[in-house]
Amino acid sequence: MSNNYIPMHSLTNAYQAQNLLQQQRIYSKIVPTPKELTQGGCGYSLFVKQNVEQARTILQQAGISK
Amino acid sequence: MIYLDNAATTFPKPQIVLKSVNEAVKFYGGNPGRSGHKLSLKTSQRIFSVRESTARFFHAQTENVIFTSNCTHSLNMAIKGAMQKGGHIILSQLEHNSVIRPIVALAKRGIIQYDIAPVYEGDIQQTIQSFASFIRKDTTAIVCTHASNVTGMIMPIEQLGQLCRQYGILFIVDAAQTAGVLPIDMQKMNIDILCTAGHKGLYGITGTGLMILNSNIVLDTLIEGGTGSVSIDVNQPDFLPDRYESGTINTVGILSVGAGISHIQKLTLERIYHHEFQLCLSLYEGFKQIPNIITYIHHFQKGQFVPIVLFNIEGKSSMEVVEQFSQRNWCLRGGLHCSPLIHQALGTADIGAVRVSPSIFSTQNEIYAFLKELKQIAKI
Repeated sequence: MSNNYIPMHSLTNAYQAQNLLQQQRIYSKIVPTPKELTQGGCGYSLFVKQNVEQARTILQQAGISK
Repeated sequence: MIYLDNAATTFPKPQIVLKSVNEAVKFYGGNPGRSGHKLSLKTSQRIFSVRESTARFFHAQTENVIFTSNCTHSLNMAIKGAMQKGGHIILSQLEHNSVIRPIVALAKRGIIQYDIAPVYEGDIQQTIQSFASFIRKDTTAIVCTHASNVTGMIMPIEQLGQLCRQYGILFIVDAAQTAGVLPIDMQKMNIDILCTAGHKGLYGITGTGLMILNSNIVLDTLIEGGTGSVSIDVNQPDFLPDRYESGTINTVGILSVGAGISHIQKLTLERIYHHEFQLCLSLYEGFKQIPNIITYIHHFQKGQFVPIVLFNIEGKSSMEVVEQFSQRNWCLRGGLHCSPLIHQALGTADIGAVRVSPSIFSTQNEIYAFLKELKQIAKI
């Protein structure tokens, strides 16, 4: 389940990422980063239920993701 | 009461702005970027939307839009952020104290040196040459107002931007009097840092400002603190906008700026400028019929001036005139308008001058009424 989370640098980043994925018809939810994934003490992630690997690739190519 | 001091802050605000303020307090009361609960995320989403629309309005990247508390705050962040390690900066003689004072403060501490470039009404080439003549090897930045808050003179920002590109100099623009009145394209104008107020031509409420960065500029921070991100790290984040937005942001103000931008876009900048310019032109025409009125520009032309009118009545100080108008329920501004250099150049440093600045809500009838009052006051 933790594989479905894509941690973001910032909340602004998260919204940008969400919009980008939505354009590719990949839907996500912005959530606080789960404890097991956070190194920073707080932060936001995209929770992507389906096509998470495709989502990661899209965001990496766009330079939006940790 | 008739309000003609919109260069200080616009009043009234459009209905959509009033609605946004009410909605912000009622529905968006969470602290954006500080939690994962519904109210925080709902508020964050709205803030992001405004950040996006603001970025589009100025042709910038979303994350490079930084919300501040006013234009002075933005300019301090920009100037001190760029010059903290030293160097030389050039400013124009039109600048407001929000530019002059941080520069003088840095110079007094021995950190920087600066030069003031004279400007020439109606002569772009001479104005550009004026700036170019001060450029030296250690020139780090040029900071320039897009338009004077005293005379209304529009500066050749695009040409200055090109000059800065040519010399690899940072270009900081104070758009307090032009955002929401003239089109501003940060890319086309080669603006590195744009600073403006949210509460003037953008029709947001007071307590709002913007600093917008172009490309990958990194500034020293003025304020460090909580950003709601990477809390374990005691260092200020290096990613935007968090790096420059420490502490709880002004949600109500920011949403009001978003509403204001939306309203301006519906009206269009062209119509706004035309409307306000015509009112000012009408004022200048009316001055010709009143003896003892002193004006300070040669030719009030479209494209050369924003909608600001400056005058004096011979034999009276500007504060005296403004007080007489105030007693008749008019809101104007006298004095030096926080811009001492241009008043020194105009010879009005002792008496100041009276400034009239209309908004989208000002009407031709108000201008006619103003001229009628002015005739009376000029006779006293």
